[in-house]
Amino acid sequence: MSVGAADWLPAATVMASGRPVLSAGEIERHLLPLVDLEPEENPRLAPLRGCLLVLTSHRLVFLHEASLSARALPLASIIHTYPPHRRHNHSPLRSLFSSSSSSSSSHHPRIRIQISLPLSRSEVVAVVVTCKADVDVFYGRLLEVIRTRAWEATASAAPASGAPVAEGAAPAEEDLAIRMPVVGVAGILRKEQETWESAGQNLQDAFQDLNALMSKAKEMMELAEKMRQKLLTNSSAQSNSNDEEMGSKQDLQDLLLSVGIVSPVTKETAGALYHQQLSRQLADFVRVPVERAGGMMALVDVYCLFNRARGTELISPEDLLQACSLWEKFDVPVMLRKFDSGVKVIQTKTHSDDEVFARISSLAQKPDALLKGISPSDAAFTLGIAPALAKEHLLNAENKGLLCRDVSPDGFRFYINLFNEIDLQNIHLPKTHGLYHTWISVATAAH
Amino acid sequence: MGNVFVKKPKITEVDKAILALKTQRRKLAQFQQQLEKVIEAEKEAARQLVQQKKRDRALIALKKKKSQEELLKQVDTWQMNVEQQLTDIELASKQKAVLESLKTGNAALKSIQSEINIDDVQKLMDDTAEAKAYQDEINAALGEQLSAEDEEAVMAEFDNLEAELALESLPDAPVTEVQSEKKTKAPAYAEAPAEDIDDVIELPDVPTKAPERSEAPEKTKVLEEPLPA
Amino acid sequence: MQRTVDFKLPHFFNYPPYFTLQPVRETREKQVQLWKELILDYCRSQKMYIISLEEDFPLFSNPKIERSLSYEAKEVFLAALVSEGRAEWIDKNHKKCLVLWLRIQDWANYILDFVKENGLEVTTIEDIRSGIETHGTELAGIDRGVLMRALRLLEQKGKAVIFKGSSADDEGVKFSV
Repeated sequence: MSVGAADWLPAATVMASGRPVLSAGEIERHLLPLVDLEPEENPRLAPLRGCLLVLTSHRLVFLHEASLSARALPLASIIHTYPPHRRHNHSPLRSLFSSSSSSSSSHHPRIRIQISLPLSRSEVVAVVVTCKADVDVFYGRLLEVIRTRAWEATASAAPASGAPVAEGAAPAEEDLAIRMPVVGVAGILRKEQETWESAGQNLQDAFQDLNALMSKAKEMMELAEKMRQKLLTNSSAQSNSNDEEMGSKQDLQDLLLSVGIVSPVTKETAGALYHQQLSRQLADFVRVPVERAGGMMALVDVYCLFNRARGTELISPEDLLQACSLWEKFDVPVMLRKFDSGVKVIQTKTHSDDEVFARISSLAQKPDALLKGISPSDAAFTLGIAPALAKEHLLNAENKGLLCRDVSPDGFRFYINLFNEIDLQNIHLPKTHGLYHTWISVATAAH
Repeated sequence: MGNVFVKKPKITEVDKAILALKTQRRKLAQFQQQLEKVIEAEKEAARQLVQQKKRDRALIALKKKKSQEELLKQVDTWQMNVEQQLTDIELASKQKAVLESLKTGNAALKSIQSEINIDDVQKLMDDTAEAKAYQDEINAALGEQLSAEDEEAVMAEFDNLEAELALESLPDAPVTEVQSEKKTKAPAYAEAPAEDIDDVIELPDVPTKAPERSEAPEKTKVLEEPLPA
Repeated sequence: MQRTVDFKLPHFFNYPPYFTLQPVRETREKQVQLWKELILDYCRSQKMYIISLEEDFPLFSNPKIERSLSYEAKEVFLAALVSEGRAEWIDKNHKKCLVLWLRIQDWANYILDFVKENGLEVTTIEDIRSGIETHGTELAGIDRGVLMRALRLLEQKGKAVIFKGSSADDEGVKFSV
């Protein structure tokens, strides 16, 4: 049997490998190896038998593997879904309306979906799961993708102005409310069923808080992305923008950066290539924050930023480390570096230690620094980097003999290394020029 | 001086005595210091007691001070004695050292002298005298053969030398010509030496040389003859 | 001992890192050198022979910059002196240190020169330490132990003989000049 008969559903293209062709932004969510699709009310609609069901973020694709043909049910056309039930709890009326193959499907879970097709007002179809599968998980995922309405996001990203998006979402809601038929016995029955099932739904919702939260987070991310697009397009339209706008745009960009990653690489989606893909994504992501932090950022900070950006699909520290170590194989502009004290940082390859040393050196030779030395916070302030990193730099400079440390009840400070300037044979000699001489004149003036 | 082994100084009784004296000196010095302290203390105490109008106690303190001062004087005397003795010992040992070296010197002198035999010396002196006398005889013998002419020649040469020496004090080149003149003039001047010499001595005037130069060649021709003789 | 001699402190005495034991090897080597020299000079000028780690030693702190050496630092510097032969630990726990700002050998030579120049052939031990003859020289106030060791060294070389007089507390030495 092919799917050719079910022309009430739009066709879906299939690749030679037997995988469906996905549109931009479409993400696979779940697969069920063997299902039937039975229209329940309308006998004129041809059913689909023995198909591979691919749940994506945009559609339900029924793929007939033998004939390499498929039909896709857009999620956008789903008005309502009913939780799967297994024959033991339903009204007899239902069974009257079910198609002839109901006897064979006595043990198979059915998921009823109310859809709205272009030609008719609404139909109810049932997805019959004829294979052994965890239907509840599938159902959960189905609800998720429906709630996420991913197809709307991709649809609105294409046009230049993203303003009507929010409005676009609203009519759908309204439609949903309007489309519910209230007339006739069927309507009453349906309403009853609906009430009962929505109660069940609520219960399920209560137990799926986390899923809801996560999808809400995804919504937030998408919203932020839309706003960013809006800003970008707005600012490009105007030739001159004043400082306030720039400031707010900067803030927003920062916000977006922290919420930045829309479609994270996960084990589910990338499978075997997980680490590689993660590594690449990490390299791309990390470039901007590291540069903004002065060319170097602590690994822990990167870990926090990256996971925050991913939002939901968090990675473990081990994954992060592994991803960093893979960078050696790729040609990425960042690298992982370990300091003697054990602190790990990510630094841009263009970062130069010598340059940092030169800056530290000149900082340490200022009159104030000659007298009082520099603390990690002073260095952080002057170099424009985090205090922890500044301390690493100072320690590094100390190791090279540029600085030496001063430990006292006041704290931990660094001074420019004078020990090399002092003549061992003649320790009282103040020297007429050079660093020691400068220091002496500053010191004697102060005391 | 040529000892192979390490030579340790020997401790003599004298050394021990010196040690004892020095130790004593130090101890006495310490004692002096102590006494001085006590004296000061008593003085201070007396002063305070006077302030407090405790007359009797003050007097006692003063008396104590006095007795300490007397003691101190005694100690000073002892100290001087000790110092004196140390000095004496040092002096004595130095004298001994001088004496020793004199003895040694004397012995050396005697030893050297003993090597000289007085008879040999006399004999040597006699020989010397004989030799001298012989020499004088030879000289006398040689001396008699000198004729009066030779005597004169010798005298003339002597005068020449004197004149030469006088001329050498002049800075000019003509000196050489003049000298040749002088040499050639000499025999002529033998007849009348005084005048020419006077002329020569007055030479500082340059013009006077010219006429002499013109004369020179003639004179050399004239005078050269007798010279080779 | 009187501390009347004014010791001139070098400029780096006011350099705070000087009082912190430096971790970096090369820097520390320099620091140790400077401290060694300073300790020797100071002890020489103040005629100090013993440094006790548990007591305050004026050289080890600088109130002007509010810094002083930690116990560990003091130990490191004194240990460096000991290994160079310019100091010795007096006790096993390394709490007290004898500073030989002149080595025993140097002391022996000094004594011999002094004795020759001043014609001091026989003298008491105490007189060397506190007598008028040595007043104003390095010998004044010399540590008794150090002196005896120097004299014994001279004895070994045959340049002196330590002897006792008739009474118990006469201890003297005769030099061969």
